[in-house]
Amino acid sequence: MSDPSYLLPRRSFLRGAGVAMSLPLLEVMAPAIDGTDRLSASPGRVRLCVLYKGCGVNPSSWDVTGGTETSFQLPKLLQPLAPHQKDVTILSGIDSDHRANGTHVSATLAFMTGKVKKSNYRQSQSFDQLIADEVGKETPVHSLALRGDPYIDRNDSSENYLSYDRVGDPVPVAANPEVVFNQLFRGFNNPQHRSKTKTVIDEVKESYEAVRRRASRSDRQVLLQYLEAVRDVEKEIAKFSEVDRQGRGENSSRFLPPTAARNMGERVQAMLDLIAIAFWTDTTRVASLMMAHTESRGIYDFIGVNDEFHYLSHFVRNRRVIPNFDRVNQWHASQLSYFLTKLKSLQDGEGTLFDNTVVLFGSGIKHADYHSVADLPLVLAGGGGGQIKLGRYVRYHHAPNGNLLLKLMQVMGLKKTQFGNSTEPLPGITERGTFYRDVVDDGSWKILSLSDKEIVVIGKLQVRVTAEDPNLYVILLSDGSHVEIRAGFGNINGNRMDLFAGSVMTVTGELKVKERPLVITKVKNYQVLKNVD
Amino acid sequence: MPSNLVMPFRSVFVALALMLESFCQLTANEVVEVLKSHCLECHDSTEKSGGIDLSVLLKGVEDPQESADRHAEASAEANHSSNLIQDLWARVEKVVSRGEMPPDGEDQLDEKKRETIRLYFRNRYVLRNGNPHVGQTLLRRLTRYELQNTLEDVLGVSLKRPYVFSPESKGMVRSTIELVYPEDVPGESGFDNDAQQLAISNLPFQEYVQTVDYALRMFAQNDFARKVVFGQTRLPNDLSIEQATRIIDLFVRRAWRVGGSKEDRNRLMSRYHRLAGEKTIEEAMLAVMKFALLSPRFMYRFESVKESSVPYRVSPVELAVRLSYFLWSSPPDEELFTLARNGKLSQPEVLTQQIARMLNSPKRISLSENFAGQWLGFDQLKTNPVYYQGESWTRGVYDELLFSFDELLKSNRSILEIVDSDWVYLRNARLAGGRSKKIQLDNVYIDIFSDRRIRKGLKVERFYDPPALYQLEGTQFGGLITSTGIMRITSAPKRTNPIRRGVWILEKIIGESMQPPENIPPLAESEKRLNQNKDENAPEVSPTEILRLHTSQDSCRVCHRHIDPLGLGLENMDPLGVWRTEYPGKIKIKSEGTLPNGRSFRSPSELKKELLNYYKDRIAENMVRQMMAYALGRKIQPFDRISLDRVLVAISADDYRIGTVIEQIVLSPQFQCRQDD
Repeated sequence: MSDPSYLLPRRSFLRGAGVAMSLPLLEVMAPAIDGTDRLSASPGRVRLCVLYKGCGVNPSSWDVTGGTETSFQLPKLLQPLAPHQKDVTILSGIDSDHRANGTHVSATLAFMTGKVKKSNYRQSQSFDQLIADEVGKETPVHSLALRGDPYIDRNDSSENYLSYDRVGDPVPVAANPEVVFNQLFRGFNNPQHRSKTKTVIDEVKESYEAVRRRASRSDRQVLLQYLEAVRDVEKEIAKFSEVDRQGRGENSSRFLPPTAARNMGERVQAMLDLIAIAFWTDTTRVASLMMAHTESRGIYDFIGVNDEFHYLSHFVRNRRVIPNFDRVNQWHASQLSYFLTKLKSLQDGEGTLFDNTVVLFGSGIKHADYHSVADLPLVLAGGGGGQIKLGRYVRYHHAPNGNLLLKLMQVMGLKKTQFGNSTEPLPGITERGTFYRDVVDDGSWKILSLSDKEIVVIGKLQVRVTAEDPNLYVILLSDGSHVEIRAGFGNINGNRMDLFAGSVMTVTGELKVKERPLVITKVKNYQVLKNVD
Repeated sequence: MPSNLVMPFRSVFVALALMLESFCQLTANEVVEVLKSHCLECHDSTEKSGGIDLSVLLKGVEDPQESADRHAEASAEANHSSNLIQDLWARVEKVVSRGEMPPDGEDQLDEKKRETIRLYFRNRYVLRNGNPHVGQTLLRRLTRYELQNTLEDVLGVSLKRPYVFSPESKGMVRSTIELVYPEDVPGESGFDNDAQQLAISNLPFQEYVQTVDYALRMFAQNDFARKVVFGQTRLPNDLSIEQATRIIDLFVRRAWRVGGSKEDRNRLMSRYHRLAGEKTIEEAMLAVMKFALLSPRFMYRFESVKESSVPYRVSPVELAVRLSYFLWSSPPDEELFTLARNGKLSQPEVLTQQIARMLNSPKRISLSENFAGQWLGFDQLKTNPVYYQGESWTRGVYDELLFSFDELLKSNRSILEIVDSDWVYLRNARLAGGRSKKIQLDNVYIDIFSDRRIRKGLKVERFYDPPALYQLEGTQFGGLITSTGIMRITSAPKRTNPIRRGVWILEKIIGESMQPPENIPPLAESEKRLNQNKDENAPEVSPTEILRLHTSQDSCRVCHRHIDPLGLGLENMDPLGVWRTEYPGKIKIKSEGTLPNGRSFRSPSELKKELLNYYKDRIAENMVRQMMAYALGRKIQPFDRISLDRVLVAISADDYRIGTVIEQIVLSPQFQCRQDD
């Protein structure tokens, strides 16, 4: 691993934990004009970062079992977050658009738009871009869209994008940390470069006008992208000049460019460093990072995993891959942990950058092999300017992900009331939530009938993925025993059983094994009785 | 070579239209009747057999003129759904024409009913108002690959990196431009030059400016390049206005290809005058060049427009530009420009001569690198670190494919030799069984590949020994499909994946688009079933048997009877393309199987022969479709059918030579015409 602090000369950073806030940030950052402290927690100064990892998770390693909203054990995959347990909120029971079930592409599309549309077509604007259109007005750079995955997916281009702009076109993703660094901290921070580019812009706008006048109707449609691109640069230049006028730009020249990443791990970390510094210098307030897309053939050899990520994610159909799949997912969680540590190390106003940032970490798919989009794996972190209640585990009951995105837009200061598949702003983010408890055993979970070939049983369904048994489901009974479901992949998938883990249900199934525990080999039908208490 | 096909295509269009008009007075009712009586029993909205629901087609038939929605979003959705319906119709027409549907055992369609389907499709989707057409022509932006090539050509400098594979980046070392300017993402055509995809991907303007700045820096340091553009290495400070005008005019003619309007050029000149007052002549000139290279005239390929909904020919210069970006991914050279500007390129024999000349130029490598690399997917070998196995291995494997595809062009061979051939490019390490004979390396490669050197750090260690052409006798390795590169990209790192290989052949070579099932049972279940039933002393179960059992269910067999034999037939090639006869655990490998037509094979080479028997027409059609999509920068649509069929007829009469494929595509109305809505 490279030295994580290479972006800043060491002295600029904190000098030991005890004096964590010693960096005279305000000297550089605050507006020179009136000296007022605009760095205190005003909603306008909150940043948003989305960290996406494709391919879902192994539910048994992800899910929090038992506990209450404020007292719970971190599950296996989130162990790397232990130093931050008080500073993250784990969300469960949030569903993406159900039409995305079973697919790679729609799951990605719906993650930040809350809505499935055909891939490779114009989409709805994603929530981060709506936010950036507002809060990005004050920063030199509108927003960042980055990827850590080393290569793009060629089968369906939509897998490569999280962010969609106002007209629904995908926001290009930057893959090279050095290039991003230059755009953020060199380039337009240099007044000469700005004025040179300004001249170029004036010229190309004129020549665009001349070309446009002679272009056909349909050509003009395509050409608009040229004008938009030019205008964006123009705005950026204006905003960088403003930063300069306020004397904030000097800071940037002190940063050192990242060294070339030797593998995906280093690239992801370099990107996280860049986001942190970009937030800290208020160069931008919105960023998203695709750590791995949903058909990633990336190899995590730097943690000793030599199989393709997407292959590992199909842990039911591919044998003996769970330990490595879990390791990769833990690594992704460790990157979140790394990022949070970094945010906490940077002073921002009265507190740290962590206090003024919202971080959403997760995947558009839950069960990595069944590609279910219910109960998405999501973690929220960062204080959001003191608005977000942290240190919790919040359970919802099939809340649409649009509700979460809508709520986060409100946290970011937007006055929206509807987004994608939303029904309401998600409660339980800025205040304590309704904590749906596990269904309580009322003593009625038992075998209702048992013949030679068939069993009817009522009880709570649980997924129990283990390395040896990647497709095991059990039905818990009141007497403490359980019935196993060892049905084929097709049977479980056809019934979409994975969507109902945690529910009490009546299951009718074929029976093979007669000793205890009884084993259902084929689910004939089932009926969900109760999801939550 | 048939050269009489350029002029009369309009009359062909007209004749076809008249012919169709006379006997296609069929009504929507007849189609509805056929669908209802033969298809909907299985393919309705509840049964959806094979995931296909044809009931949506009835609505389209009965209500062909849906009113345009007022809201932009709603109309986009309507557009989207009409695209889906068109795709569905194309599928119906295809399976009905091929006799694949209705399936055996169901009521078959008689010839009249088949014709009803075909005619309905033709009238509705192939023709417009009874006439053939070429679809709306979309403005095309240069891709990154084309941008780099174009800057090299226009400025006379070298901007690409020599081919160096590096252990640090686990792939090919990228050029400065490739580092700065983001990679284009392929569109629905499967290629990154897809105009539609480029139109919805935002132009990375800052990176574009950086790219041009970099190219001009390279230019400024290069005396030879300056001499070409300026006519002299140093611009004197007393450069006359006439001289400056001349330099700028010449430069703009090359940079903007079709030239700009007088207004465009005047603007550049006035900019020059202003700057010349403030800066040195050289600085002023470079600034003007920069403006020219940042103009939409450079970055987009404009064509003059008549706002006509009927196809009309593009100008000779525009045709030259289309041609050179198709064959070279670069702008036309002087010869092509001159022939276009004096109108000679409109003569069919001049055009075919030019095609032949261009295919003799080293610049044709873009067809292998850019077209074949994307089509067959072997370009990933360069960029995806997953495939990196050390410097010489990766480069050798990539080059085998690159050189082999280029050999088709160089020797004007049959496109079917992609499947099987008695020659192949092999790197030194790879001579598997059989006899083979090295063929003299052609000089043309020295030009194209001379800078491929083995490097360590910055030091050139030794010259790279590229794969050489071998005459094969009795080996299993003819054609591109069994090359190491293809065997690798269709495998997991440590084991083969017969389904991935089968799907690859179906999609890339045969042209069947395979929709992956939403979720399928794992192989492990079949393995368990096999192991449960076998007695203890029986030998280990082979992966082949497991796959056979796995796909024996009816719902799987529909697709897997096509997929599996293709993949299993290549099991003798391990994930690195090395010949093997046993799996680990001493299980014997048999590359054998039966194609859906009942013909069996017992080795990869027999499989390839059977493939060419059974799928020949489809392989040829797919190859043409792919190349046409690349040439036109868009997905092939139903209305391209007429031209496509004509190309197919022409190439089947000429042994499927790739030169004829290219020529026929260039001669087609699709390539020569534009249409504005």
